[in-house]
Amino acid sequence: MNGGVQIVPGFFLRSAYLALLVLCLFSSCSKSAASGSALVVAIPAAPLTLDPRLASDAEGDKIGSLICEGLVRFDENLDIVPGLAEKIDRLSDTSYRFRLRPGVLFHDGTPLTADDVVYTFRSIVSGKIASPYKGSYEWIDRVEAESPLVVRIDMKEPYGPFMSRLTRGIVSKKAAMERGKLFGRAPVCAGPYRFVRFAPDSSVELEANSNYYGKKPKTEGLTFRVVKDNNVRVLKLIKGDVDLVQNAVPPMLIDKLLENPELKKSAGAGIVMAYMGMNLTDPVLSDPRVRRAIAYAIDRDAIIAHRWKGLASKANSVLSPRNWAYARGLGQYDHDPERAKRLLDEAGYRDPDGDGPGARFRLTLKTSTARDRIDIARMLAGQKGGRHRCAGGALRVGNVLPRRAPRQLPDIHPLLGRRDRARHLLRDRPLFAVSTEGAQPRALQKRRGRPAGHGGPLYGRRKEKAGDIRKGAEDTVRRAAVHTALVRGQRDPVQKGAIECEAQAGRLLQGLRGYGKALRNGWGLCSDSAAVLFGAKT
Amino acid sequence: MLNYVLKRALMALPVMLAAATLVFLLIHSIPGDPVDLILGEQAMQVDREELSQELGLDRPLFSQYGAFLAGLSSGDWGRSLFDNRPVLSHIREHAGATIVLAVCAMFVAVAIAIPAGVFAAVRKGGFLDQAAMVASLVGISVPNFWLGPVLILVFAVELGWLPISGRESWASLILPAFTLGFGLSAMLSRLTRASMIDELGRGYVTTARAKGLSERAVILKHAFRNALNPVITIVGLEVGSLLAGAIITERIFNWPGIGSLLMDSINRRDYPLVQGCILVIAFAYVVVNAVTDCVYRFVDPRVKI
Amino acid sequence: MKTVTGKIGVAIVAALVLAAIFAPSIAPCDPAAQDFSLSFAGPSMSHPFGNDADGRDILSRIIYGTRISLGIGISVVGISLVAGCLVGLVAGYSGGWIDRIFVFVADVFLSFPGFLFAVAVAAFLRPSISNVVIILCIKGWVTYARLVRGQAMVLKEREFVSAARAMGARTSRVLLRHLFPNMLGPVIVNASFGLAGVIMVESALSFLGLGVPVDVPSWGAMIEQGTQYLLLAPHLSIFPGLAIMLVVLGFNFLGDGLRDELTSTAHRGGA
Repeated sequence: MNGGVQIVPGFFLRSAYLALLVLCLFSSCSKSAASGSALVVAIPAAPLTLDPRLASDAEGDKIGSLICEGLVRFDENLDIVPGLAEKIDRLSDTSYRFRLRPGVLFHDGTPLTADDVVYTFRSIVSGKIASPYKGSYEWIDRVEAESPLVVRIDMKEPYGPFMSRLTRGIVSKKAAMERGKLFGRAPVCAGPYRFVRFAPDSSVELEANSNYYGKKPKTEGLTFRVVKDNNVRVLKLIKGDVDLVQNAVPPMLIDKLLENPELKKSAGAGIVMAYMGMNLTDPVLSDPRVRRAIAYAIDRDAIIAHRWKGLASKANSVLSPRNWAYARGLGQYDHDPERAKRLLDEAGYRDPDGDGPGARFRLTLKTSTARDRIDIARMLAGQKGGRHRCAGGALRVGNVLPRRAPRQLPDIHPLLGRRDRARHLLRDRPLFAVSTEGAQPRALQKRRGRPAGHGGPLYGRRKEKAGDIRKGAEDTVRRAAVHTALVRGQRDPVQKGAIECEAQAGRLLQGLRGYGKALRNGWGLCSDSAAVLFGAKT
Repeated sequence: MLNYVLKRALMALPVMLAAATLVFLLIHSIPGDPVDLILGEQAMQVDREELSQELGLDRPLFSQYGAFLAGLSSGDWGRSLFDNRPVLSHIREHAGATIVLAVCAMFVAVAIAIPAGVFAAVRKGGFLDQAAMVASLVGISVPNFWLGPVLILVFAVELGWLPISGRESWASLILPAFTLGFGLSAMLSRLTRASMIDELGRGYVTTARAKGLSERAVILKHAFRNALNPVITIVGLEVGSLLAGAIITERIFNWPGIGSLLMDSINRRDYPLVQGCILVIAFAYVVVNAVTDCVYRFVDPRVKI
Repeated sequence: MKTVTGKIGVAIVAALVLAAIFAPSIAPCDPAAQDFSLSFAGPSMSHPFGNDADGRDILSRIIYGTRISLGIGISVVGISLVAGCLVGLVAGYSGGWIDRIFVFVADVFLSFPGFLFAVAVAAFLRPSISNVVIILCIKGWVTYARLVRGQAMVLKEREFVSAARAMGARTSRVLLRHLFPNMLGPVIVNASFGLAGVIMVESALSFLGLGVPVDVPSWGAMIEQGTQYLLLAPHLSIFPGLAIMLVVLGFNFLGDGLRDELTSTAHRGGA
């Protein structure tokens, strides 16, 4: 019944998770608990691989990006700035030339050349290393080394977001070929930190790269310790075993932590979003009034205030308000239970027993097994069902039963993948394309080397419009205008993607510059979703 | 004796086979398509076929069963879906932690139960005995997934003497071992008491007393030894339940053993790994039972198989 | 009920049953009512056991939890008992190859540690109450079957059985009217301990996330939620655990008391 066309972010829970939380033991940035002056960071999960071409889990990607730098990189404002490539020439709509910085050395002392760049991209595209990112480089027609320091990339057709794809780390061809599959356990690249040691499931040690071309990292070393349990992680921070925890402190524990005078909290705007997708083919949900009613029924303020302690904000778009393409002027669905009830009555779903426990209809909300997703689902369910005898505010729209989705989505994944048993979203007029790389168990990716995704690609609605955009790829103003048109043209909650992407900034630690600013690094996927909005793939 | 050991070992094989078959049937009798469960309903057809082939699901049941058994005996237990490493590697990495935990828990249980049981038996009918009996009933009723967090609260959070969880130092072993061994100790103490009372009522004890041996000698040297026999058997049998209880304890304390591995792989729907963990625990159970039988026979040659 | 502990057991079980039946009237709040402003609130006048992560009243959830525990417990024990007794009666009475098959099957089932079996099956099924019942029944019947079989084998040699047979009674009549009533004692005792065990296992499964679905007020699941927030709100774990302990204790006491009661009666010559 799902055939091909799939997800559309139907109506979403527009609660965006804004903050990045960074807690740092200030004084111990110098007197760190670990060996020497390495900064010790606690991470919630172990990286699976550090190879930038393969890492699709959050930790692997973050840490990998500290070790490996790409042709370009994102700065604090999510703008593209030169990385290993110091100059970029546009030769035509589909062809670009990159001049590499002279004198850049890999961590093993060998010089960076165009060959390494060519090798890196070719190895992904050819499918030889079964990279989950293969699909996002399908636009590449040719990558050639014109001279030892010049690379030319030709695209099959104009592809707007291509720059953001070029942030992927460049690996040393020699080392990658030598080490083969083990490269991911001991990568050699040209980033600000050099790889030292990787104990799977336990820790990763890095040291500052003295040969780095750019601003030298401020810490001599970085140690990432895997601490899976929330409570233990927090305790370690309190005790001083760990210096920094980023985005891995449950918001509810923050106040408790701040009782400790040595701990400081640093928060900045992020780009993660949480959404709830609605299946438009479901008979109940196909009525926009029902969807709107659900939108009004949810009290996001309460969830934000208590689950995230105010560290989030309600979203009404796929993009973060800080994004240049964000459409201003879109309204919000506020909590309005009376209106919800009216809408439902209008739609023909009357409350069967007034204030009693009878439900108007039942829905199933599927979610991943990631804990916070389940929590959110529970909160939604609770808000829309139940008798509220002692909490006040009775709204019986329906009972939404949270259920675990069959697979574990990496918890950085911005798409929640909530789908009910018939929740396959738009069938005939899909909205926008969001690629869902990395959502599959890694082992499967290895085999297919292309993104499996939990729903496959979503397609842009106005395909013809999207085509226009693609052609005028570099015209940012035009892109913004078209985006606004696309989104405005769809006032129906179905189309209003309410998504903010979270910045899981690994690059933050690069220079340990003011935590606040540097936290905003673009999470590849999220900046892609902005880009892919326009480069809607068919 | 060797004869017996061999015989017992041979008897264990069909049991292991039965256990393996049970596990195999489990996976293949789940409602719904396993491929669906792993990949999700919206997976592309191509992916489904690939996974189906990879897991061998497209072949007839018997052929799969054959391949399954062949793999088991040859050491190929499949590969984890999550990181494509062999299942046995994962198991090998995690087995040590569980063994350490189980052994310590057993030690704790025995160290508490036997003295308590003997003590209660000797003071049979008295107030202390009754108190001990009630205490042991309470001990059996305490859920270990509650005891664990309570111990953590008291000793790790409030008092800060011990680590909360994980396996980092010798101190990390204390709370998990105690949690795991506690329920067993309650049960064992009752058993020890009953067995001891039994022994103390026997003829030879009266004789020994009449002969003028000190009470202590009577108890310790004679009755106790004999009373131990049934206790040993039960201890052996209960190792199995310890292994199963370890699943919960490892979860509470983030102890990196097979139980944790099992739970993680269940959550990730990594079925080959789930299967491997279940098999390993089941096999361990069978082996321990067999060993217990042999030990029992050794201790008490009157027993016939 | 002779012993003190037995009496206590009866009291606890009775309280449990009453709580389950009258839950809506007893519980001060709706167990599903969320109020985020009360998240993690400690015990207070209006919420004697405090509130959980979503602000739900813990006391109410514990009271409604009696329905879950008791419901699952009774279902499992009921089904296992009926099934087990039937099988055991037939196997024990008939002897021969029927019995041998039974012994073989029972051994196979027993070759697996019980809890592991439950986890294994639950791993492949979606969490739901009916699934939990099914899982626990799969292994549950074996205990009763063995018990009954053992008794049947002993009792079938007794005079009253041969007498009944001599009078031409059909096998089924012999089994049901004559044999079974004499085994009732141990069976009931076992059932009581069995209930304690089932409640424990169901809680354990829910603790691991393999039992009841999310949000159903199972005590095990409540404890699990508490472990996430141990640093913040320990009372989330403490009260449900006490509930489990109390209930399991109650059934254990009851079983003990019943055993004292019934076996001594038997010894006094009733048959």
